Amino acid sequence: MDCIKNNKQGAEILMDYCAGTADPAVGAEIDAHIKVCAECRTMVEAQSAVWEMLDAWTPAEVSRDFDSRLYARVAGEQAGPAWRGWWSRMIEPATPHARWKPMVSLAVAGAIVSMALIVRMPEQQGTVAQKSTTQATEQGKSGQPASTPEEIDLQQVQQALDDLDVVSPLSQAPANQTAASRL
Amino acid sequence: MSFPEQSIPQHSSEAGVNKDMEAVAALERDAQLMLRVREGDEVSFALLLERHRAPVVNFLHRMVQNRAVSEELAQEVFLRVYRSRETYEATAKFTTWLFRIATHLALNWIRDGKKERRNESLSEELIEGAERQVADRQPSVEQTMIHEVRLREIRKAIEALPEKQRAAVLMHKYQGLDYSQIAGALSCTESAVKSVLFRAYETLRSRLAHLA
Repeated sequence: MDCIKNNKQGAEILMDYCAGTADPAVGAEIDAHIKVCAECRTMVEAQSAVWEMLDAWTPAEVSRDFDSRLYARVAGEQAGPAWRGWWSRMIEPATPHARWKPMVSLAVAGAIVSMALIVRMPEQQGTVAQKSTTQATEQGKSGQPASTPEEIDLQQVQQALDDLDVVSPLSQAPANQTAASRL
Repeated sequence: MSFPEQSIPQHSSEAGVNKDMEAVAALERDAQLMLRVREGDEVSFALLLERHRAPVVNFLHRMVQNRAVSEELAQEVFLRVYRSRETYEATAKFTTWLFRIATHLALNWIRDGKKERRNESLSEELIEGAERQVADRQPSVEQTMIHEVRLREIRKAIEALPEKQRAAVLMHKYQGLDYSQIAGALSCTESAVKSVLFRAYETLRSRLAHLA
């Protein structure tokens, strides 16, 4: 087995192994490997130590009146006018979003689409005749129609922005975090 | 409207049952229960609440580190689940949906800058911790103090993580969510989750090395 740090899935292997969720076969490989590799053994021991330390943080019990308070709120909503429930669902959807994120995502997506249109429009206006000639030439050569311009997949753009936000958030970590440990 | 106040009967797991199969069965049960809630079954909502109340409160507690706020946010989570019952569709795992709501509420609360309550909550938690220690008949004051110091360091280390790293670690470590569920809760890809988790644990290894 390769060293964890050299393994493409090393991060996942390390976390799964220390969490006790690794595939038994993989776990056995790691057991054997760390017996001979001091560096991996150190990494596994450090991660295992963190895992055990986190176990020390046991939660307090939930308040005994939690349910009754919740049911009271539900009953209160149902007792109100119908429009209030509709309005609540409109302004507070079940899955709230970070308030600023849709604005940034929309702004960036809009900018990309606008740029694409601006780039395409002068070409379309100034070279229509040229394109027709080119297409006719290509069709003449290959006997097939020319390919269409690449379309922007907004869904892919949104997913990429979401991943970027998770991996490298715009919001800053607390000041006492070192630069090396920041995203 | 009245909700029955009853607890879910505790069933012991049969010997030899595959843990993964149990997890899948639990997820399917949650979806089925929520579909019944959609049909107006209040007992099913009570069962879902019984099953997920503590995990949601505990997750939010570790996120915002304020007990009162965590229960308030948790109530908001279940309120939104209840409000959405008529339009619920089992397109994603119920737990994923639940923790997505909880994560976003927690992130919004944190970003709203309501940090002034944290200082109050830290001492409140330490007192509660000490009381639990006494109740558990911990043998010595010194051990209690050492435990509290370690706990404070752990909580500070978690709090120092960027919010989404924090959420990912809490879901991974304490809620046992898999990568796809965490990705669903954070609205990102699995590879992004793995990257985030690795960085978070790397940071924690560095910050907590002196306690090992």
